Amino acid sequence: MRKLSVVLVILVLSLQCMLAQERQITGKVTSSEDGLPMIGVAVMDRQSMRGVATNVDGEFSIRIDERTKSLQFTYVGYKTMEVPITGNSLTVVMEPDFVAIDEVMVVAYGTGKKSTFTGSATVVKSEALEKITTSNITQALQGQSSGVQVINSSGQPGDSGSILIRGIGSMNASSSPLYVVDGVAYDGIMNAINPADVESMTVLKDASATALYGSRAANGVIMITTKKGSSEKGQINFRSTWGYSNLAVDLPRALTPEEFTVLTWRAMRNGRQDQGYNADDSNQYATNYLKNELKINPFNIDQPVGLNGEMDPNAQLLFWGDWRDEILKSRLRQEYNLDFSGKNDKADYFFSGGYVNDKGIFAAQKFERFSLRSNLNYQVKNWLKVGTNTSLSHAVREVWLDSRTIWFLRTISPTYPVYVWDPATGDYKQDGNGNKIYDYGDDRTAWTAWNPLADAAYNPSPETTNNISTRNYLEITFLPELKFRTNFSVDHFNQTYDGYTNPEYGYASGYGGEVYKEIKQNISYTINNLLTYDKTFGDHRVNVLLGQEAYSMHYKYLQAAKRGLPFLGLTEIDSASEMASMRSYYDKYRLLSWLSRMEYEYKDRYYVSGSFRTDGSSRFHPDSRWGNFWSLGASWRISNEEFMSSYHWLDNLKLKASYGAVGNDQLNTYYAYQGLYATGNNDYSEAGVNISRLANKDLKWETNLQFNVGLEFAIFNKLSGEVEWFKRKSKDLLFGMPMAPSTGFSSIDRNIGDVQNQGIEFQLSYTPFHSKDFRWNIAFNGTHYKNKITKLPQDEINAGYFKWREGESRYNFWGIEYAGVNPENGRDQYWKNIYEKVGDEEILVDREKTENYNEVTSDKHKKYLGDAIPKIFGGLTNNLYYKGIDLSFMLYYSIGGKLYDGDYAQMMSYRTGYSMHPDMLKGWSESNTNASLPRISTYYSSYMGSYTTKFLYDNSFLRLRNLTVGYTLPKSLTSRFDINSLRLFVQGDNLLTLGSAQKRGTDPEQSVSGTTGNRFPTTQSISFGIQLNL
Amino acid sequence: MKKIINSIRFTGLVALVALMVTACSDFLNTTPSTSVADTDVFNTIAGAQAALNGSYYHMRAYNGGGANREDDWGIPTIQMMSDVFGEDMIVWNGWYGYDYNYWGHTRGDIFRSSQLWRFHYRLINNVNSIIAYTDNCSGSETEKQHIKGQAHAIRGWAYFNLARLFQQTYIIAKNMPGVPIYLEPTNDQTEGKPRGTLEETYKQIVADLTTAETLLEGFNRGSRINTFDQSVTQGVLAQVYQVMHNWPKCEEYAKKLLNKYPLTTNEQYTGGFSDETVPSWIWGMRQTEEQNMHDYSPFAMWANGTRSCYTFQCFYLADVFVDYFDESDIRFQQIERWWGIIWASYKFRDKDDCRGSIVFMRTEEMLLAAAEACAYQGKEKEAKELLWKLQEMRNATRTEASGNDLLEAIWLERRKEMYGEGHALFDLVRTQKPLVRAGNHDAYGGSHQFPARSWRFIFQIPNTELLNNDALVDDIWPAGDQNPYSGEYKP
Repeated sequence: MRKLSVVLVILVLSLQCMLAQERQITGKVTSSEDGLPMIGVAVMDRQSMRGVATNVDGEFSIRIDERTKSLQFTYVGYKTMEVPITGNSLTVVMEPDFVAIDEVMVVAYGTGKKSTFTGSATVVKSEALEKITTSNITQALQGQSSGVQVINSSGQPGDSGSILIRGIGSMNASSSPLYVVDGVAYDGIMNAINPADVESMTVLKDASATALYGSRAANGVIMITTKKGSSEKGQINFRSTWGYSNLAVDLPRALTPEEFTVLTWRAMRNGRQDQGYNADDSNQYATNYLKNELKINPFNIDQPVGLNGEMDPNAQLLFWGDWRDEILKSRLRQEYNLDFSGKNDKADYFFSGGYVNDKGIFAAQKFERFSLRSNLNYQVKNWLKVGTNTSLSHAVREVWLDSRTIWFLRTISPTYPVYVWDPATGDYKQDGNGNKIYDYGDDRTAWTAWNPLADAAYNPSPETTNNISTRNYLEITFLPELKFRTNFSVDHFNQTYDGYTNPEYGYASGYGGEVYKEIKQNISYTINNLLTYDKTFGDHRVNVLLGQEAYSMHYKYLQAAKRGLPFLGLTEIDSASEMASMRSYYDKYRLLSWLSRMEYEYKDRYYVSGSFRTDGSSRFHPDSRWGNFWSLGASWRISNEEFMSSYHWLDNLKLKASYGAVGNDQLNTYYAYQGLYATGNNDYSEAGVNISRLANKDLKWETNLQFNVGLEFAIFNKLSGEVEWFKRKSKDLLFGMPMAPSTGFSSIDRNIGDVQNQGIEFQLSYTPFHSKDFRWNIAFNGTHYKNKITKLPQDEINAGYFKWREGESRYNFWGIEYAGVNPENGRDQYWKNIYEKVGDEEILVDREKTENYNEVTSDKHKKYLGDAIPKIFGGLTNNLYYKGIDLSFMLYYSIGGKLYDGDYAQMMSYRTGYSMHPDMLKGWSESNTNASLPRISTYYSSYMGSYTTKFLYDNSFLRLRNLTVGYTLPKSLTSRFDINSLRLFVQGDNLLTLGSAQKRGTDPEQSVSGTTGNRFPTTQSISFGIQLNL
Repeated sequence: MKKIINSIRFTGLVALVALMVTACSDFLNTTPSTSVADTDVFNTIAGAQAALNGSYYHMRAYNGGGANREDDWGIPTIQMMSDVFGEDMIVWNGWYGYDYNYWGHTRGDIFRSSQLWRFHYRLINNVNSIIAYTDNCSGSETEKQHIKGQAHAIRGWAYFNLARLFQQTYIIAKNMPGVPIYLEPTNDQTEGKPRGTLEETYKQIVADLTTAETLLEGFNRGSRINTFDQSVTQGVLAQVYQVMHNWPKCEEYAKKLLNKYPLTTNEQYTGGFSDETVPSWIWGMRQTEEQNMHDYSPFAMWANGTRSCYTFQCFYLADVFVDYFDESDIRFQQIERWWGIIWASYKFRDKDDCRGSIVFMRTEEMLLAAAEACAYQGKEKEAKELLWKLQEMRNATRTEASGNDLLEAIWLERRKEMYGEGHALFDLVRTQKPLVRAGNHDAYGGSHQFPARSWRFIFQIPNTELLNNDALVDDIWPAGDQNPYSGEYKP
């Protein structure tokens, strides 16, 4: 702190109070597009940093310094103009900027001009975001920015997309970016942010852009900026959509009961044969015992399948379960947003309210959110400005559809009825009201006591989230160039889960049902003090930022459950009789930081910036908790050089480069360095502890060294673009260094290992036409990166589906190579390596096919099978406007990258009680010896779904992310009703998906690692909307 | 200028307040709320006792083997798994069904092997700390001695289980690989240990258990039936010597317990095996309202329609096994033919609150071990007297056979008396029997036949161990340290 005060004093003292002559300038600003006056254009005297805005007639009046030679005119969407002062009156014609060079954007701890920025960042604006129907803003980012990989692997209403910026920066700690909302790191719930309130999202990608976020910046930063009042004329906006959704990629078709029964018979018959019995015996065995294997026989006869393996013609299906259709039903999604905004010379305001009710596609699925926001800025004194951005949201979610339900849907046998069957009456049982009764399937072999529909109906278990986020500041202007700002922000959420299992139906009926309450409460605050100095001296401009910050997070968890409810309908703990469980814990996480940045600019051509931050984190041992993070960046605006002035068509040409070090402290625990015994391991009522963690004092930050070089250009005011090359080197990576499980631990965390992500990304924007009636814009972006492990604590580490080795990608699959089906007997074959012993070494000499899986399980028969990371991915956006009609679409593409389809694999072998994929019908048989799928058999079933290349696929895909068609009613019509604009539109999300995964009934968007997990897949939707501006 | 001064004052104030909040020196020191530092555990004898309590908890806790499944519940899981590997039970489609039908659960890349491995080694690491640090605690020497004694007993027992699950039986596989032995608490420098030989593993087992027996002299566990006291230790020693064919010792230890504990009366036998106060119970566990196996206890698996809570009803008895019982046998009266197709057993019936206790060791096992030891030593008369004592009480026909037939009779009696108590797999391996699944196993997918000493009875070492333990060679024995998955072991 002492250092800071000294600097402050010196800065203040060094300032000179200069008195100068002043004079008045007036003028008018019009648009080159239609010649109409422009309202709200910022007019700035850069010498005195004094500014005004044009009025409704496009007129302005400003007092300027005697020495001022020119005035600067800026307006969003128009090219910034520097107009030389001639006389006391000016007429200015502004030209729309289709290549957006002079855009002001949000950067770390402030704002900056895109044209002078030395780092790498992409701004995604609300117009692009609002085209995606989503309740979670992170999902809307997909395909909008180069360098950003968004995987929307969940179709649950309100779920987040998973986001990676420029590759995988960590092996074991988090690879997710830092979210910053209105200038301060966000600790609230992502889906508490109403996407309609968001003005823009800025993705900061390199160290020059992110270094001020120090220890949390290694994976990039996503800055979410909410709207503020910008029009002197008050605005009222109303937007609403109504729509229905479906699965974007439908689950694989369910087997019919007959197909399932016949397949079961085949598995038994073949299994019997594989045990050495002859064909006749095996057929007889399968026919005789099929009913035991089925356990629930839905047919009217004991032996529904004959000795020939076909359904007995006399077999009649008595009951079955059409689970898919019963469970998945499209339901209404509705959204309403209303906001009021405006400003005057002292204040600006933005108030909004939103309501969304997304019922998803499953009986009990729901995401309902109420949100309110107030963004206010006020100039209290001419030296003091205060402001607040405060939002409040209340959301209720029904969370029944977890991965188990998807697993259920994929593997529930159609022979299990949804409703209770009564063999006595030969019909489904009915309750007193004539309704069918849900069957929990107590006698089933698999999915015993499960019925998601019944659970949805009987066991409503909402999760309620209240989120308050507030950003507050006061800013003191000592001198136009010297400002001090204190920010105080708080994020608070309170998440309550009201779990309930009814006492009468289902598995909990034995103990009278259960009430399960859970409360998660988090409060985090950030305080920072920032001093900025920004001054232009002739051709030089200097900007200095000094700051200090403290962050503190407090997370509390409380859970209790009781069992034994006397009646249906009671859902509180007080009503239940027996304690079932009770837990609580409390976590704290803190950071203390000092930060600084300096920017220098010469002649609007050369820019240099450097930042430095030091962070102390509570996650590390006192000896290793402080880390330093920094960056250096420079850019050269070639197009502003005098020797380039003859090239009028060249609007912008800029070369930039940056290098820096940022950190990652997001380990999986807050107390990673401490050797611990976990409490609660009690021997009945005697308190007990067990070893839970080995002491690890040297654990420290992961550091990410990032290099970026880029070229930006804009020509003919039509085409603009950017190409960047990056290299991210993460070092001191946290590794769970595997230990032999016999030591009692499976791994220990160590800072050993480096990984590198190197890639190239581009974005292009082309505006072939732009007039009042006809506008057309195409944007295209793509990213390619390669991930490479450059240092490991040991030669190689086996990590599930992958093997980590220096020089290889983190997600390069490693395993057994499948060698196809043996056409002679229908068995799976695998490649087995043959080694020869030469001296002490074994040398690989050949390979051969084997049917014995156990011969190839050791590592020496395995190989690298391909990388899960796509070769290139990105988006193509097209926006077209013609006389009130607008059409836009966005295609998201991802080429290359492997997917291990475990969701499919789990359906590709016979397991008692579980259903299978319809592809199983195409398996090998005596009459189908060319089959690509093996012969079904109980005897080999434990191998058929094993992890080999059998289920590893190229996961290239193309998705029509959105398609919007809108019509804005003619102003001549709407103005009669005092309506500024009224637009009606139809919006479709994920209407089309192409790729190999889709053919298997698997959604291609699964995970970065290219593995599946019975995720609830992304949905497609069609909605109708209205947008009204008053 | 005044404006500037005003604003500077104001700023100073704001900055000062903000800094005061954050500048405290211990701002960055945070500690977990539900864990304690390892350095704080072994200061007092109470801390050592807490660590020991944790180990007892582990032995019956959910997810002790890291499988995170409802068939990962410590000892009860090992018991159920062992039982369904044998010939006597049928699992009709339910939990442990994949163990029953030999689907492949002994494979090193399927969860079961790793679950068994981790369960024991986590326990071993916990007790290693107790053995290493208890002496540093302040407290009475006797208490320390008893805590250490229990820790040694637990460690010996854990290595004994590992040795039996991961290798062929001792007398034919003495020189085969054993299991890695760790005697010191693991720290961040600990390296994986080699398998050594099975003989070395048994040396450690016997050393631990005999040390424990001495240290536990005078230790009274009170009503804590799950606690290792001298008796439990002696019982485990009897089992160990039985596996080692050290018959005099086996007889000696079995008889130590026969002299201390009464047999289970018929009334107690038919009482449902859920009451830990039955005096013949040497070792077992309780379930309480707070700590229980929910609906995954053995009681929830047995099909007999008596449990008041949800029951999976998947454990039945095989035809051929039921045929062994005399009709007059009180144990036969516990068995009932259901739907004309399968036998249900009433032997295990839960308490009304579904929190029945589970037996791990009881006097009859010791009686039969003593009988077996006598028979092996040629003391057939005594062997028969012991056997008859049980047979008469249960109203079964006396065995008159001798020689090998007598041994067979004793082994059969073990099955009849103790089915469902976790012995089947261990006995199959120990007595080197083939698996002959005849009769109605066929109808439930269980008709597997494997020769004696089949590798299918032995678990493979988890793959993660082979990959991460530098002392092991990742290849199938005899080329490496991995157990074969199938085939017959020929000593």
